[in-house]
Amino acid sequence: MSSAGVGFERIAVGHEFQTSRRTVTEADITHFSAITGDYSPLHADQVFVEEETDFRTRIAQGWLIVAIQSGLHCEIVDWRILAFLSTGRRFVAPVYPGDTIHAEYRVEEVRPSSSKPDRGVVTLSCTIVNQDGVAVVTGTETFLVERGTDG
Amino acid sequence: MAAPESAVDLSVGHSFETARRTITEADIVNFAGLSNDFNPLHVDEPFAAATAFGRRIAHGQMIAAIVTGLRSELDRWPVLAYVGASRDFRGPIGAGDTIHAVYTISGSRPTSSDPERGVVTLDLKVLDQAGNEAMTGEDVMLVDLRRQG
Repeated sequence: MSSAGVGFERIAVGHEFQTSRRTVTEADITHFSAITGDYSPLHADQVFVEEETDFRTRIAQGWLIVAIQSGLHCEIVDWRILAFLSTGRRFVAPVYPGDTIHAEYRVEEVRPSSSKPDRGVVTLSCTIVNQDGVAVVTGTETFLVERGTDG
Repeated sequence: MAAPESAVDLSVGHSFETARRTITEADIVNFAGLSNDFNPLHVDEPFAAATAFGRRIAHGQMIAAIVTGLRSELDRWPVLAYVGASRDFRGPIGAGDTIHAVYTISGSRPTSSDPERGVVTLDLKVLDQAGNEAMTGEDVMLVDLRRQG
């Protein structure tokens, strides 16, 4: 592993940070359908959305919002992550093309590994927020993080 | 889903499989670009080769995303909204691995505010070509019961 980066021992419960922002575009939704094969009508059929749902236009795929959030710049990019263990998400409000999102993180738990002293498990709460301050996705992420070797 | 009127089975315990798909190098690169997630586990071969994985691995959330597009009975469900999900990333998937998912309905009830809308909960597991569990989790869907068929 690289020796650079923020090790497990430097991550504290209660620490809060935000990501950079990104505008979700029509192109993102179409590209995501192309990658996943998910052309379900909520994302790909404007007539269905207008006639059958309460949404004003096609909405972004929930997993697209989660995917985009995972690439927003934030402190986690510098963590010594060994593995992404799990995630739980609630898709609480729609994201439309043109909406601008960012995420707000808080470290909720840090737990040293019982079997391997060089690593630990970090659980964060993560709320993805749109330009109006409305939460669109809430949930948690859990990472396996290596301790630093130089600290 | 865009209108088929054939019945769908929303009963608890009902289980079904998706189609398979081979995860490719292109998938990983495309997903890195779309998400801007260029974590070295996904895009840096010497780095990844030195980890316990031994090679670059697919983004866990990409596998979750690709599973949403695998052909299955879910394609015919009158889904009004995808309410929530959880995923445990249990084993790595790399380029060349072939995945499919097995869904089992674990809960099905009308909403308290509108009996024509149902909340359906599904357990799922994603398996590779050797039958190893790559991912387990749960999906929660809001379904239009009038259009259940």
